[in-house]
Amino acid sequence: MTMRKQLKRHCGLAMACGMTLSLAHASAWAVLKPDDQPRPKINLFPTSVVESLSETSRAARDMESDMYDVVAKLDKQNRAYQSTNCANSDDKGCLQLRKAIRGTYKEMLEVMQSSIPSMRNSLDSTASAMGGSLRGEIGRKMTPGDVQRILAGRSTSQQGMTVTTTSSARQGKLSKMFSRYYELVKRGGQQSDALPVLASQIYLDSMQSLYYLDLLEAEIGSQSTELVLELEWGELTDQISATVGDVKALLWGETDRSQDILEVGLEAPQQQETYSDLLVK
Amino acid sequence: MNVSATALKLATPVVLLLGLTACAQQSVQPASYCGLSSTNNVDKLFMEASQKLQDPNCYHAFPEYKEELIAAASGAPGPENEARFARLLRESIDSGIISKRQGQEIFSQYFDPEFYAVKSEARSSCTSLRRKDELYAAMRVELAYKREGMLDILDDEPRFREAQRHYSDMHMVFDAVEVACMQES
Repeated sequence: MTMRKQLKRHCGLAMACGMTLSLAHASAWAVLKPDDQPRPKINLFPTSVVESLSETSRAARDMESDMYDVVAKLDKQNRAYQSTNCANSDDKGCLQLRKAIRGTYKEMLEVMQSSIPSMRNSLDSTASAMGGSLRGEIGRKMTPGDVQRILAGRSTSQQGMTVTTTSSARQGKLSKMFSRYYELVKRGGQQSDALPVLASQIYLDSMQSLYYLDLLEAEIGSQSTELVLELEWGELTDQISATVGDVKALLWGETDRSQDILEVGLEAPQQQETYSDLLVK
Repeated sequence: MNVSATALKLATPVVLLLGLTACAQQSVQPASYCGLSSTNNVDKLFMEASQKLQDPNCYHAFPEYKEELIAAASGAPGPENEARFARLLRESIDSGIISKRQGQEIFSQYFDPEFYAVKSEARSSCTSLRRKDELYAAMRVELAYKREGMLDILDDEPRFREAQRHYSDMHMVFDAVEVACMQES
Protein backbone atom coordinates (compact mmCIF):
# COMPACT_ATOMS: atom_id res chain seq x y z
CA MET A 1 0.00 0.00 0.00
CA THR A 2 1.45 3.29 -0.97
CA MET A 3 1.88 6.15 1.46
CA ARG A 4 -0.25 8.39 -0.71
CA LYS A 5 -3.13 5.97 -0.63
CA GLN A 6 -2.79 5.56 3.09
CA LEU A 7 -2.84 9.29 3.55
CA LYS A 8 -5.94 9.53 1.42
CA ARG A 9 -7.71 6.90 3.48
CA HIS A 10 -6.78 8.50 6.76
CA CYS A 11 -7.90 11.86 5.47
CA GLY A 12 -11.19 10.28 4.52
CA LEU A 13 -11.78 9.00 8.02
CA ALA A 14 -10.76 12.28 9.55
CA MET A 15 -13.18 14.05 7.25
CA ALA A 16 -16.01 11.68 8.06
CA CYS A 17 -15.43 12.18 11.78
CA GLY A 18 -15.30 15.91 11.24
CA MET A 19 -18.55 15.90 9.30
CA THR A 20 -20.24 13.83 11.98
CA LEU A 21 -18.94 16.33 14.46
CA SER A 22 -20.31 19.22 12.52
CA LEU A 23 -23.77 17.86 13.08
CA ALA A 24 -23.39 18.60 16.73
CA HIS A 25 -23.73 22.29 16.05
CA ALA A 26 -27.40 22.25 16.08
CA SER A 27 -30.21 22.43 18.47
CA ALA A 28 -33.32 24.44 18.08
CA TRP A 29 -35.96 26.06 20.12
CA ALA A 30 -39.34 27.26 19.29
CA VAL A 31 -42.19 28.16 21.53
CA LEU A 32 -45.51 29.30 20.27
CA LYS A 33 -47.16 32.21 21.93
CA PRO A 34 -50.70 31.92 23.16
CA ASP A 35 -53.07 32.11 20.25
CA ASP A 36 -54.47 35.45 19.39
CA GLN A 37 -55.59 34.16 16.02
CA PRO A 38 -56.39 30.69 14.80
CA ARG A 39 -53.35 28.71 13.76
CA PRO A 40 -53.19 25.24 12.35
CA LYS A 41 -52.97 22.62 15.07
CA ILE A 42 -50.41 19.91 14.53
CA ASN A 43 -48.65 17.32 16.56
CA LEU A 44 -45.16 16.71 15.29
CA PHE A 45 -43.98 14.75 18.27
CA PRO A 46 -46.10 11.69 18.88
CA THR A 47 -44.93 9.16 21.44
CA SER A 48 -43.07 7.12 18.81
CA VAL A 49 -40.84 10.09 17.96
CA VAL A 50 -40.12 10.88 21.58
CA GLU A 51 -39.23 7.26 22.27
CA SER A 52 -36.95 7.11 19.23
CA LEU A 53 -35.15 10.23 20.32
CA SER A 54 -34.63 8.85 23.77
CA GLU A 55 -33.31 5.61 22.29
CA THR A 56 -30.95 7.47 19.93
CA SER A 57 -29.63 9.52 22.78
CA ARG A 58 -29.00 6.31 24.74
CA ALA A 59 -27.31 4.58 21.77
CA ALA A 60 -25.01 7.56 21.25
CA ARG A 61 -24.14 7.58 24.93
CA ASP A 62 -23.35 3.84 24.81
CA MET A 63 -21.13 4.32 21.79
CA GLU A 64 -19.26 7.14 23.46
CA SER A 65 -18.92 5.20 26.68
CA ASP A 66 -17.54 2.14 24.86
CA MET A 67 -14.95 4.25 23.17
CA TYR A 68 -13.87 6.25 26.15
CA ASP A 69 -11.26 3.81 27.48
CA VAL A 70 -9.68 2.93 24.17
CA VAL A 71 -9.39 6.55 23.13
CA ALA A 72 -7.86 7.49 26.48
CA LYS A 73 -5.30 4.69 26.03
CA LEU A 74 -4.50 5.82 22.53
CA ASP A 75 -4.14 9.37 23.67
CA LYS A 76 -1.70 8.32 26.39
CA GLN A 77 0.42 6.29 23.95
CA ASN A 78 0.41 9.13 21.48
CA ARG A 79 1.65 11.56 24.10
CA ALA A 80 4.47 9.18 25.03
CA TYR A 81 5.40 8.84 21.37
CA GLN A 82 5.56 12.60 20.92
CA SER A 83 7.46 13.28 24.14
CA THR A 84 10.18 10.72 23.37
CA ASN A 85 10.81 12.08 19.89
CA CYS A 86 10.09 8.71 18.36
CA ALA A 87 9.02 10.09 15.02
CA ASN A 88 11.27 8.70 12.26
CA SER A 89 13.37 6.85 14.83
CA ASP A 90 14.40 3.21 14.35
CA ASP A 91 15.01 2.73 18.04
CA LYS A 92 13.60 -0.60 19.25
CA GLY A 93 11.47 1.03 21.94
CA CYS A 94 10.06 3.44 19.41
CA LEU A 95 9.23 0.61 17.02
CA GLN A 96 7.37 -1.17 19.82
CA LEU A 97 5.50 1.95 20.78
CA ARG A 98 4.57 2.55 17.16
CA LYS A 99 3.26 -0.97 16.89
CA ALA A 100 1.29 -0.57 20.11
CA ILE A 101 -0.26 2.66 18.88
CA ARG A 102 -1.33 0.99 15.67
CA GLY A 103 -2.83 -1.87 17.64
CA THR A 104 -4.80 0.48 19.86
CA TYR A 105 -5.87 2.51 16.88
CA LYS A 106 -7.18 -0.64 15.26
CA GLU A 107 -8.97 -1.50 18.49
CA MET A 108 -10.60 1.94 18.45
CA LEU A 109 -11.79 1.41 14.91
CA GLU A 110 -13.23 -1.97 15.88
CA VAL A 111 -15.11 -0.49 18.81
CA MET A 112 -16.53 2.18 16.54
CA GLN A 113 -17.40 -0.39 13.94
CA SER A 114 -19.24 -2.55 16.43
CA SER A 115 -21.16 0.43 17.83
CA ILE A 116 -22.27 1.75 14.49
CA PRO A 117 -25.03 -0.79 13.70
CA SER A 118 -27.08 -0.11 16.83
CA MET A 119 -26.50 3.61 16.45
CA ARG A 120 -27.63 3.37 12.85
CA ASN A 121 -30.77 1.39 13.73
CA SER A 122 -31.70 3.90 16.32
CA LEU A 123 -31.05 6.89 14.06
CA ASP A 124 -32.94 5.19 11.28
CA SER A 125 -35.96 4.78 13.45
CA THR A 126 -35.78 8.43 14.61
CA ALA A 127 -35.41 9.68 11.04
CA SER A 128 -38.26 7.50 9.88
CA ALA A 129 -40.63 8.55 12.67
CA MET A 130 -39.71 12.23 12.38
CA GLY A 131 -39.95 12.12 8.57
CA GLY A 132 -43.39 10.53 8.76
CA SER A 133 -44.51 13.17 11.18
CA LEU A 134 -43.23 16.05 9.06
CA ARG A 135 -44.72 14.57 5.91
CA GLY A 136 -48.10 13.85 7.45
CA GLU A 137 -48.53 16.90 9.63
CA ILE A 138 -46.88 19.58 7.49
CA GLY A 139 -46.26 18.17 4.03
CA ARG A 140 -49.81 17.08 3.38
CA LYS A 141 -51.92 19.06 5.80
CA MET A 142 -50.38 22.49 5.56
CA THR A 143 -49.48 25.08 2.96
CA PRO A 144 -46.13 26.89 3.21
CA GLY A 145 -48.17 29.87 4.40
CA ASP A 146 -49.52 27.84 7.32
CA VAL A 147 -45.94 26.95 8.27
CA GLN A 148 -45.03 30.61 8.21
CA ARG A 149 -47.97 31.48 10.44
CA ILE A 150 -46.87 28.91 12.97
CA LEU A 151 -43.29 30.13 12.91
CA ALA A 152 -44.47 33.71 13.26
CA GLY A 153 -46.41 32.80 16.36
CA ARG A 154 -43.39 32.04 18.43
CA SER A 155 -43.11 33.84 21.68
CA THR A 156 -40.55 36.39 22.69
CA SER A 157 -40.46 34.65 25.99
CA GLN A 158 -37.38 32.60 26.43
CA GLN A 159 -38.76 31.06 29.59
CA GLY A 160 -37.74 27.47 29.81
CA MET A 161 -35.69 27.62 26.67
CA THR A 162 -32.35 27.21 28.34
CA VAL A 163 -31.40 23.63 28.06
CA THR A 164 -30.01 22.58 31.38
CA THR A 165 -26.85 20.65 30.90
CA THR A 166 -27.28 17.97 33.48
CA SER A 167 -24.84 15.72 31.74
CA SER A 168 -21.52 14.73 33.16
CA ALA A 169 -18.30 16.05 31.72
CA ARG A 170 -17.85 12.76 29.92
CA GLN A 171 -21.03 13.03 27.97
CA GLY A 172 -20.14 13.29 24.29
CA LYS A 173 -21.38 15.67 21.69
CA LEU A 174 -23.48 13.24 19.75
CA SER A 175 -25.39 11.99 22.76
CA LYS A 176 -25.58 15.53 24.09
CA MET A 177 -27.13 16.69 20.85
CA PHE A 178 -29.81 14.02 20.94
CA SER A 179 -30.44 14.27 24.66
CA ARG A 180 -30.88 18.01 24.20
CA TYR A 181 -33.36 17.35 21.43
CA TYR A 182 -35.13 14.88 23.67
CA GLU A 183 -35.39 17.43 26.46
CA LEU A 184 -36.64 20.11 24.10
CA VAL A 185 -39.25 17.80 22.65
CA LYS A 186 -40.38 16.70 26.09
CA ARG A 187 -40.95 20.30 27.09
CA GLY A 188 -42.16 21.63 23.77
CA GLY A 189 -44.23 18.57 22.95
CA GLN A 190 -46.46 19.22 25.92
CA GLN A 191 -47.72 22.33 24.22
CA SER A 192 -50.65 22.06 21.92
CA ASP A 193 -48.82 23.75 19.08
CA ALA A 194 -46.00 22.10 17.24
CA LEU A 195 -42.37 22.96 16.83
CA PRO A 196 -41.57 22.71 13.14
CA VAL A 197 -38.06 24.12 13.32
CA LEU A 198 -37.03 21.69 16.02
CA ALA A 199 -38.63 18.79 14.17
CA SER A 200 -36.86 19.79 10.96
CA GLN A 201 -33.53 20.12 12.70
CA ILE A 202 -33.88 16.69 14.29
CA TYR A 203 -34.90 15.13 11.02
CA LEU A 204 -32.12 16.70 8.95
CA ASP A 205 -29.50 15.91 11.59
CA SER A 206 -30.66 12.31 11.80
CA MET A 207 -30.54 11.92 8.02
CA GLN A 208 -27.08 13.46 7.82
CA SER A 209 -25.83 11.42 10.75
CA LEU A 210 -26.99 8.28 8.97
CA TYR A 211 -25.12 9.31 5.86
CA TYR A 212 -21.91 9.97 7.72
CA LEU A 213 -22.21 6.81 9.80
CA ASP A 214 -22.24 4.87 6.53
CA LEU A 215 -19.20 6.78 5.32
CA LEU A 216 -17.45 6.20 8.61
CA GLU A 217 -18.18 2.49 8.59
CA ALA A 218 -16.87 2.07 5.04
CA GLU A 219 -13.74 4.02 5.88
CA ILE A 220 -13.10 2.05 9.07
CA GLY A 221 -13.43 -1.17 7.11
CA SER A 222 -10.76 -0.19 4.62
CA GLN A 223 -8.43 1.26 7.24
CA SER A 224 -8.64 -1.87 9.37
CA THR A 225 -7.44 -3.94 6.41
CA GLU A 226 -4.51 -1.62 5.84
CA LEU A 227 -3.59 -1.67 9.49
CA VAL A 228 -3.42 -5.45 9.53
CA LEU A 229 -0.96 -5.30 6.67
CA GLU A 230 1.14 -2.52 8.15
CA LEU A 231 0.95 -3.40 11.80
CA GLU A 232 4.55 -4.55 11.96
CA TRP A 233 6.47 -1.95 10.05
CA GLY A 234 4.26 0.93 8.99
CA GLU A 235 5.08 4.53 9.83
CA LEU A 236 2.75 6.48 12.03
CA THR A 237 1.14 9.29 10.19
CA ASP A 238 -0.21 12.63 11.25
CA GLN A 239 -3.54 11.46 9.92
CA ILE A 240 -3.84 8.92 12.71
CA SER A 241 -3.31 11.67 15.24
CA ALA A 242 -5.78 13.85 13.40
CA THR A 243 -8.37 11.10 13.39
CA VAL A 244 -7.88 10.47 17.07
CA GLY A 245 -8.29 14.19 17.66
CA ASP A 246 -11.54 14.18 15.73
CA VAL A 247 -12.84 11.18 17.59
CA LYS A 248 -11.97 12.83 20.89
CA ALA A 249 -13.81 15.91 19.83
CA LEU A 250 -16.74 13.74 18.86
CA LEU A 251 -16.72 12.10 22.27
CA TRP A 252 -16.03 14.98 24.59
CA GLY A 253 -16.32 18.02 22.44
CA GLU A 254 -13.84 20.80 22.31
CA THR A 255 -15.91 23.47 20.65
CA ASP A 256 -19.53 23.16 21.47
CA ARG A 257 -21.60 25.28 19.15
CA SER A 258 -24.82 23.52 19.89
CA GLN A 259 -26.30 26.54 21.63
CA ASP A 260 -25.93 28.76 18.57
CA ILE A 261 -29.12 27.67 16.95
CA LEU A 262 -31.03 28.24 20.16
CA GLU A 263 -30.81 31.94 19.43
CA VAL A 264 -32.59 31.55 16.12
CA GLY A 265 -36.07 32.88 15.69
CA LEU A 266 -37.11 33.55 19.23
CA GLU A 267 -38.81 36.89 18.97
CA ALA A 268 -42.44 37.23 18.17
CA PRO A 269 -43.38 39.73 15.49
CA GLN A 270 -45.04 42.91 16.65
CA GLN A 271 -48.69 43.01 15.82
CA GLN A 272 -49.12 45.65 13.20
CA GLU A 273 -52.75 46.39 13.82
CA THR A 274 -52.38 49.79 12.21
CA TYR A 275 -51.65 48.23 8.85
CA SER A 276 -53.80 45.15 9.08
CA ASP A 277 -55.65 46.07 5.88
CA LEU A 278 -52.35 46.04 3.99
CA LEU A 279 -51.14 42.74 5.40
CA VAL A 280 -52.15 39.32 4.21
CA LYS A 281 -53.24 37.04 7.04
CA MET B 1 -76.68 79.44 -52.70
CA ASN B 2 -73.78 77.97 -54.58
CA VAL B 3 -71.42 80.47 -53.01
CA SER B 4 -72.54 79.66 -49.49
CA ALA B 5 -72.33 75.92 -50.18
CA THR B 6 -68.76 76.30 -51.39
CA ALA B 7 -67.84 78.40 -48.35
CA LEU B 8 -69.32 75.77 -46.10
CA LYS B 9 -67.31 73.03 -47.84
CA LEU B 10 -64.11 75.00 -47.29
CA ALA B 11 -64.86 75.96 -43.73
CA THR B 12 -65.74 72.48 -42.47
CA PRO B 13 -62.23 70.95 -42.62
CA VAL B 14 -60.76 74.05 -41.01
CA VAL B 15 -63.23 73.89 -38.14
CA LEU B 16 -62.66 70.17 -37.70
CA LEU B 17 -58.92 70.66 -37.70
CA LEU B 18 -59.14 73.42 -35.11
CA GLY B 19 -61.45 71.28 -32.99
CA LEU B 20 -59.12 68.26 -33.11
CA THR B 21 -56.14 70.41 -32.17
CA ALA B 22 -58.02 71.76 -29.18
CA CYS B 23 -58.94 68.22 -28.06
CA ALA B 24 -55.39 67.07 -28.45
CA GLN B 25 -54.14 69.93 -26.31
CA GLN B 26 -56.56 68.97 -23.59
CA SER B 27 -55.79 65.20 -23.37
CA VAL B 28 -52.07 64.96 -24.11
CA GLN B 29 -50.10 66.46 -21.27
CA PRO B 30 -46.46 67.36 -21.47
CA ALA B 31 -44.14 64.68 -20.13
CA SER B 32 -43.45 66.73 -17.02
CA TYR B 33 -47.13 67.04 -16.16
CA CYS B 34 -47.17 63.86 -14.05
CA GLY B 35 -43.60 64.14 -12.88
CA LEU B 36 -42.72 64.82 -9.27
CA SER B 37 -40.54 67.72 -8.29
CA SER B 38 -36.97 67.12 -7.30
CA THR B 39 -37.44 68.15 -3.70
CA ASN B 40 -35.70 66.34 -0.89
CA ASN B 41 -38.61 66.94 1.41
CA VAL B 42 -40.13 63.47 1.75
CA ASP B 43 -43.42 64.70 3.14
CA LYS B 44 -43.85 67.15 0.29
CA LEU B 45 -43.00 64.48 -2.24
CA PHE B 46 -45.59 62.07 -0.85
CA MET B 47 -48.16 64.86 -0.90
CA GLU B 48 -47.31 65.68 -4.51
CA ALA B 49 -47.61 62.05 -5.52
CA SER B 50 -50.92 61.81 -3.74
CA GLN B 51 -52.24 64.88 -5.54
CA LYS B 52 -51.03 63.77 -8.94
CA LEU B 53 -52.64 60.38 -8.45
CA GLN B 54 -56.00 62.04 -8.09
CA ASP B 55 -55.74 62.88 -11.78
CA PRO B 56 -56.56 59.84 -13.95
CA ASN B 57 -54.05 61.12 -16.50
CA CYS B 58 -51.29 60.30 -14.01
CA TYR B 59 -52.45 56.84 -12.91
CA HIS B 60 -49.90 55.32 -15.24
CA ALA B 61 -47.12 57.01 -13.29
CA PHE B 62 -47.78 54.99 -10.12
CA PRO B 63 -44.77 52.63 -10.60
CA GLU B 64 -42.45 55.59 -11.15
CA TYR B 65 -43.83 57.35 -8.09
CA LYS B 66 -43.24 54.23 -6.05
CA GLU B 67 -39.60 54.07 -7.10
CA GLU B 68 -39.04 57.78 -6.56
CA LEU B 69 -40.66 57.71 -3.15
CA ILE B 70 -38.60 54.70 -2.12
CA ALA B 71 -35.45 56.54 -3.16
CA ALA B 72 -36.51 59.68 -1.34
CA ALA B 73 -37.54 57.83 1.82
CA SER B 74 -34.23 56.00 1.81
CA GLY B 75 -32.57 59.38 2.05
CA ALA B 76 -34.55 60.16 5.19
CA PRO B 77 -35.14 56.84 6.94
CA GLY B 78 -37.50 56.64 9.88
CA PRO B 79 -40.61 54.89 11.21
CA GLU B 80 -42.90 57.63 9.87
CA ASN B 81 -42.20 56.45 6.32
CA GLU B 82 -44.29 53.35 6.91
CA ALA B 83 -47.40 55.45 7.51
CA ARG B 84 -46.62 57.56 4.44
CA PHE B 85 -46.45 54.52 2.21
CA ALA B 86 -49.51 52.98 3.80
CA ARG B 87 -51.52 56.16 3.20
CA LEU B 88 -50.46 56.40 -0.43
CA LEU B 89 -51.24 52.73 -1.04
CA ARG B 90 -54.67 53.03 0.55
CA GLU B 91 -55.47 56.07 -1.58
CA SER B 92 -54.29 54.23 -4.66
CA ILE B 93 -56.46 51.24 -3.82
CA ASP B 94 -59.47 53.48 -3.19
CA SER B 95 -58.94 55.27 -6.49
CA GLY B 96 -58.69 51.96 -8.32
CA ILE B 97 -55.14 52.62 -9.51
CA ILE B 98 -54.03 49.33 -8.00
CA SER B 99 -56.02 46.42 -6.63
CA LYS B 100 -56.16 45.68 -2.93
CA ARG B 101 -54.05 42.58 -3.57
CA GLN B 102 -51.38 44.62 -5.34
CA GLY B 103 -51.37 47.10 -2.47
CA GLN B 104 -50.98 44.30 0.06
CA GLU B 105 -48.23 42.75 -2.01
CA ILE B 106 -46.21 45.96 -2.15
CA PHE B 107 -46.69 46.77 1.51
CA SER B 108 -45.93 43.21 2.65
CA GLN B 109 -42.87 42.87 0.49
CA TYR B 110 -41.28 45.93 1.99
CA PHE B 111 -42.57 46.16 5.53
CA ASP B 112 -43.88 42.79 6.74
CA PRO B 113 -41.34 40.42 8.33
CA GLU B 114 -43.37 37.53 6.92
CA PHE B 115 -43.02 36.59 3.29
CA TYR B 116 -45.73 37.39 0.79
CA ALA B 117 -44.28 34.85 -1.63
CA VAL B 118 -44.93 32.13 0.95
CA LYS B 119 -48.37 33.37 1.92
CA SER B 120 -49.52 33.29 -1.67
CA GLU B 121 -48.79 29.53 -2.02
CA ALA B 122 -52.16 27.87 -1.87
CA ARG B 123 -51.18 24.22 -2.33
CA SER B 124 -50.01 21.72 0.27
CA SER B 125 -46.36 21.90 1.26
CA CYS B 126 -45.49 18.57 -0.38
CA THR B 127 -46.87 19.85 -3.68
CA SER B 128 -45.53 23.41 -3.37
CA LEU B 129 -42.06 22.23 -2.50
CA ARG B 130 -41.69 20.35 -5.75
CA ARG B 131 -40.89 23.83 -7.02
CA LYS B 132 -38.87 24.76 -4.00
CA ASP B 133 -36.18 26.49 -6.06
CA GLU B 134 -38.72 28.94 -7.46
CA LEU B 135 -40.12 29.60 -4.01
CA TYR B 136 -36.64 30.18 -2.60
CA ALA B 137 -35.78 32.53 -5.47
CA ALA B 138 -38.94 34.55 -4.78
CA MET B 139 -38.09 34.64 -1.08
CA ARG B 140 -34.58 35.85 -1.85
CA VAL B 141 -35.93 38.66 -4.00
CA GLU B 142 -38.41 39.57 -1.30
CA LEU B 143 -35.71 39.58 1.37
CA ALA B 144 -33.91 42.22 -0.72
CA TYR B 145 -37.12 44.31 -0.75
CA LYS B 146 -37.41 43.88 2.99
CA ARG B 147 -33.87 45.02 3.44
CA GLU B 148 -34.70 48.15 1.48
CA GLY B 149 -37.99 48.67 3.29
CA MET B 150 -36.97 47.88 6.83
CA LEU B 151 -33.36 49.02 6.91
CA ASP B 152 -33.11 51.76 4.28
CA ILE B 153 -36.59 53.24 4.59
CA LEU B 154 -37.64 52.56 8.19
CA ASP B 155 -34.24 52.12 9.81
CA ASP B 156 -35.80 49.26 11.75
CA GLU B 157 -33.07 46.68 12.19
CA PRO B 158 -34.92 44.42 14.68
CA ARG B 159 -37.72 44.01 12.18
CA PHE B 160 -35.30 43.10 9.43
CA ARG B 161 -33.58 40.59 11.72
CA GLU B 162 -36.97 39.05 12.31
CA ALA B 163 -37.49 38.73 8.57
CA GLN B 164 -34.09 37.09 8.28
CA ARG B 165 -35.01 34.61 11.00
CA HIS B 166 -38.23 33.78 9.21
CA TYR B 167 -36.22 33.29 6.07
CA SER B 168 -33.73 30.87 7.64
CA ASP B 169 -36.33 29.03 9.73
CA MET B 170 -38.53 28.48 6.73
CA HIS B 171 -35.58 27.26 4.71
CA MET B 172 -34.84 24.67 7.36
CA VAL B 173 -38.44 23.51 7.67
CA PHE B 174 -39.02 23.45 3.92
CA ASP B 175 -35.78 21.52 3.34
CA ALA B 176 -36.81 18.92 5.90
CA VAL B 177 -40.39 18.65 4.64
CA GLU B 178 -39.20 18.32 1.07
CA VAL B 179 -36.86 15.45 2.00
CA ALA B 180 -39.63 13.80 4.04
CA CYS B 181 -42.09 14.11 1.17
CA MET B 182 -39.54 12.72 -1.29
CA GLN B 183 -38.79 9.75 0.97
CA GLU B 184 -42.31 8.52 0.48
CA SER B 185 -42.50 8.91 -3.29
